[in-house]
Amino acid sequence: MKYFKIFLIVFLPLFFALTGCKLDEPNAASTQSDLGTHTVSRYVALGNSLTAGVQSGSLVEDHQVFSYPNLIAGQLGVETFEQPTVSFPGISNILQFNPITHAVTPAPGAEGTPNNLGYAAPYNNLGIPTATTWDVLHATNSTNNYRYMFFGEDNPAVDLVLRNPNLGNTSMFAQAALQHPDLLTLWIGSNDVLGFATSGGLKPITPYADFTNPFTGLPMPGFETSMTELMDTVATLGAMVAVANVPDVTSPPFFTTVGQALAAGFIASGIPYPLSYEKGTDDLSAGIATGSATTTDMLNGTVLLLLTGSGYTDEIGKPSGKWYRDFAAMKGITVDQLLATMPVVDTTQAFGFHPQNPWPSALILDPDEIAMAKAATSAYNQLIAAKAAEKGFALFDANGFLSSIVSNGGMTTQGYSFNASYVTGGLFSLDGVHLSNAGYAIIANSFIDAINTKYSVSIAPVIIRNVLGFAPVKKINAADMKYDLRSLSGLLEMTGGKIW
Amino acid sequence: MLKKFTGIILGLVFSVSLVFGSGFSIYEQGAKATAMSGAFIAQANDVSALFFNPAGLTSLTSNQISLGTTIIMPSASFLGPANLDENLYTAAKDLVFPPSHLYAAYRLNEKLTLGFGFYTMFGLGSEWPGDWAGRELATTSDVQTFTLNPVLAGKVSDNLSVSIGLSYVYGTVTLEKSIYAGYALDTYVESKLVASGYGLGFNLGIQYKPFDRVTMGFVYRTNTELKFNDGEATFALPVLQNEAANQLLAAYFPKTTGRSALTLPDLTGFGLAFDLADNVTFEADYVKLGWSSYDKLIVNFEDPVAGSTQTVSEKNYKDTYSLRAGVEYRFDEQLAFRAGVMRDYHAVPDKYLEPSLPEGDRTLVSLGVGYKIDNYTIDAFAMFLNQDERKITTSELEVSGNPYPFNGTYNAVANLFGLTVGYSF
Repeated sequence: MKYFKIFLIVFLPLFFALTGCKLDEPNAASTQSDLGTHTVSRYVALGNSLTAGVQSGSLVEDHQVFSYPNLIAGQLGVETFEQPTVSFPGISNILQFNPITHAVTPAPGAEGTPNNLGYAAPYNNLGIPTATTWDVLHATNSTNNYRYMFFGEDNPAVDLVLRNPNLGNTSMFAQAALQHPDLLTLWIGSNDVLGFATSGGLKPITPYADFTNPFTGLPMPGFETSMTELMDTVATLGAMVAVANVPDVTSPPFFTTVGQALAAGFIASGIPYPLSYEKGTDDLSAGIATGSATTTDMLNGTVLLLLTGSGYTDEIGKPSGKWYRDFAAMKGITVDQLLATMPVVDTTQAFGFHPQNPWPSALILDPDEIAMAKAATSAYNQLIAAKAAEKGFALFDANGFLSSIVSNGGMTTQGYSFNASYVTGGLFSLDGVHLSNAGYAIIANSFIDAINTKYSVSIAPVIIRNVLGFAPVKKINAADMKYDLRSLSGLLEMTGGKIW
Repeated sequence: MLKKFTGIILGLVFSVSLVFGSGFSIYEQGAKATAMSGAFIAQANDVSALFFNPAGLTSLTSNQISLGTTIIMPSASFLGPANLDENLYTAAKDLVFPPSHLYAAYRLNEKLTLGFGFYTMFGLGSEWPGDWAGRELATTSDVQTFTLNPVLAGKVSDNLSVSIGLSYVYGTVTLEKSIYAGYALDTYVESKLVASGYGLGFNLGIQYKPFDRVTMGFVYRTNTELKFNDGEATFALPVLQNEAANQLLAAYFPKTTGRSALTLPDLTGFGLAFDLADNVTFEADYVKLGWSSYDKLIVNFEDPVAGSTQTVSEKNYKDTYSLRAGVEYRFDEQLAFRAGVMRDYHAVPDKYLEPSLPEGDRTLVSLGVGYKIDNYTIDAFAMFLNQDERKITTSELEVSGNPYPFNGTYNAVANLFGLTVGYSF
């Protein structure tokens, strides 16, 4: 009896304590998407490298997981969202920032390899790096796409995503239609003007109207034909559709970084000369048309020096032929052979100052080229807006959104501040054109906003913090892992094992 | 970039500050007293008086020794931060803390009693998931202090006793959190700070029986400055694919040391006990902790960091107090039932509340029993803590010198169980 009392005295309070207060847990650990009367079980994304999730010049799984379609899929809670992933260091090798030397160079090692070429269904993310508007309906392999027809360049990215003939020689759109999507996003058109811009105006802009291919002499559809056909076809799916328009090429750091830095350098060193640059094409057999840009022109974006020119700014003022040596190497000829075709070039003159050794056209967008790119973009976007309205699609104004970030000097979302500065701004990846993990999350949220508004649903936004801190890390082989017993004790106990 | 990283290291050492507060003071230092929610300063009639009011030791009629443990099982959660998602819910890991106490009293003569106590007056910790939304503020925080407390208590007259004692306090701190290395590197470094230090304090107690059936008690413990001289900061670096980034991180996050001092608050307590009947005693106590002494934290470095050997961070804690009431009903010579209720107020202002110390105003209720058999005493209790939901909208926290407002809603509950076994001889 005595021991029974002692037992009760000890046990009853212990029982109370163990069965006492509990925290109220909410039903869900974050704001949940509410699709109202809609259901989204299949989501498909169409687009180009921005949709594929390219970062730092590379399609690589470490960053593809943060593609905006994959992030949207996560917020929708769809069961599967398959992407054509590529192992580290990606295709092509991802650019890395050296924080000690500030150099940006490709990661060493062999190119990455595709992980799931054998996936037995079309991918949900059908974004093809390089794809133009025409390609969405028509391209099926590396040699029947717009780029191949325009430039005669093989385009292996098409094969990576569409995997024909195994998928029945189907196009990006056809593979989307096969999946009967409830929601489709479409962000296309950048490559119709971006190739022109990133080549310093050397590659053509897709004309708005139908035209004749200058290389083959064959008739080609212009942007209006391609986009109209595409929007009309997408509408036949009867899915919820969100489209984004074409960003202004003058927004990303690829176009804004070098000129700003160079002008600042000129001002700091008291260099009074304007930059002499080559206008037009790289055909210098007859002579060089040059323009000149003052530091003010460079600072306010009247001319845009490309990020690819960052390796040549140190040559300015020197009797330098570095550009022509590199250019000859790219073409696979000797520099003497190259210079023989351009008798007016004199590399003994001061590079970037003398009109016979100007800053090359391939590394600058001059005012005429900027105007052409802007005019094309503007025409494209008017059509996109008109067709989206006609078809009742949600529209995300990517152009206005990215331009406003530049004009406002940055943006703040969820307490995090970003700007369009190269490397440090947080919004763009190291290639200066494609976005970062956070940048794509912000794009995803903009798409979500557009969808929510158009279709009266409330898809929860991506939490920006959840995509920060994911620089690619080395993966550890399971065989090399050293297990910490203590951290595994919970698992062992659940499975009936015990350590102590 | 260099400046940014050194700033980060400073921020790490700052955070020594985070862990002390009302929520980290442990008043549950004896099962009998705690069963009455700690309303025991006036009664102080067992050997746990060493903690609650050592003057009460003079009422013991024999030598006594007791040993006990309080099992504290807190649960805490955070809803937010509001800038990310006001419905983002994170639960801290449910932890179990077993602060223990050991008391011994030896009667030198009819008037003088010598006592010795060991207890853990400040302690506890919090453990949030390693990848949670507040990882830059705190992931794992753990602090413990161990007090050795010799006391001399004496009877001045039949109805007045006093005591004086010395406290040697040894404290350990472990703090872990993440450091975000900026957009360019886009990775986290996990930091860990381990420090230990000691300090001395004094205490005095008074017990006075103005009338039959009425007892008053007063206790005062001085603040104690803990000196942390060899705080050691270590960093777990990510293994990035970018080798140059790995080199930079290794260079900027070396193992490093820092010094700091921290003042544990003084304690002032007053209790009033009535014998409502021969076998029923009621007591009400007021206990104040002087946290306002903790207005800023100063950290000194062995070598200049970012050109400075000293950093100062604002804390601005305020004094806090608790109100306690308890009752004991002695069923017979052997068996007693006890109950209590208390209200405890927060020390950390809204602006500076951090997840490492998710404290707030709270209400506690307690129940307990005591049983005497031969020379042994067994006391046990259960106690329930319910913290008021605390919604922060004015957070002014910083990370590496940059504003890092962490607004959201903190909730906490805790269940406690304690057992003390005494032996008299």
